[in-house]
Amino acid sequence: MANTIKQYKSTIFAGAGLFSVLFTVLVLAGIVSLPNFVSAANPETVNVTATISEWLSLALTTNTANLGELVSSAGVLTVGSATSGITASSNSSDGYSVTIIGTNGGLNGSNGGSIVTPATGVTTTCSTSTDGTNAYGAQATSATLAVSSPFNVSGNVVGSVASSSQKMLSSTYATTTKTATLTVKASANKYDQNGTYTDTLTLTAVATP
Amino acid sequence: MKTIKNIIATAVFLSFILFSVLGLAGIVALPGFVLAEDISVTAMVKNG
Repeated sequence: MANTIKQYKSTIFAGAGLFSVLFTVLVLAGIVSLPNFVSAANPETVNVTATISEWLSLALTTNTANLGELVSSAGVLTVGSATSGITASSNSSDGYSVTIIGTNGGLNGSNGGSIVTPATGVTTTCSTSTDGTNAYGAQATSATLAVSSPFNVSGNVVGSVASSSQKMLSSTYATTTKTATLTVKASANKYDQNGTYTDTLTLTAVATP
Repeated sequence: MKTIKNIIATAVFLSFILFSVLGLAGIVALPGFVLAEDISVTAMVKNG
């Protein structure tokens, strides 16, 4: 018996050694995992998630701008002017902007003719001097929103309300409702055809992507 | 059981497609990413 043990002693030691090496390699490779003896070293986690959706709000105090009589029946010239308050707010992390676009690219006359607005990005001046100036556009003022060119003008100078969309107002991320005033102005040449002149301006609020 | 699961999955998928189409068509208002307001401008020219 003693001889038999002696005979296989080296084989048993070799086997045990190889098993130890193999087990160590498997553990290090992550194929075999050791029991979790110390829980603090291998904690369990709970992933918590919640969502806040993006929202945007835009409102006008009035949806009509009546510029009145640009040329009266007595031939008297007037710079027509009308205002509308703009209220905008959003929780967009990158802020938002308000664009403006004119449907007709000018004021279209019911009997033909038009009161033109300048090209995109350009200003014009409404005037009643001499025979009057055929001019139409808008300007904006705000203490809380940034006003973009060509709408950051005053007096009888107005920016284009052409039929291409232009950024008029913008805001970075804000936690308050912001306001602005839109003023639409026009003047006519006294020889412009009589009639009612109309256009539709569309203001669009867009969250900054 | 498998058939019911398939029906529910198909219904959810079709609802998603329908809602997307309606949203894109502007029939159903999606949460406000783009909002628009119109202003009608009128002026008179009365040559005597």
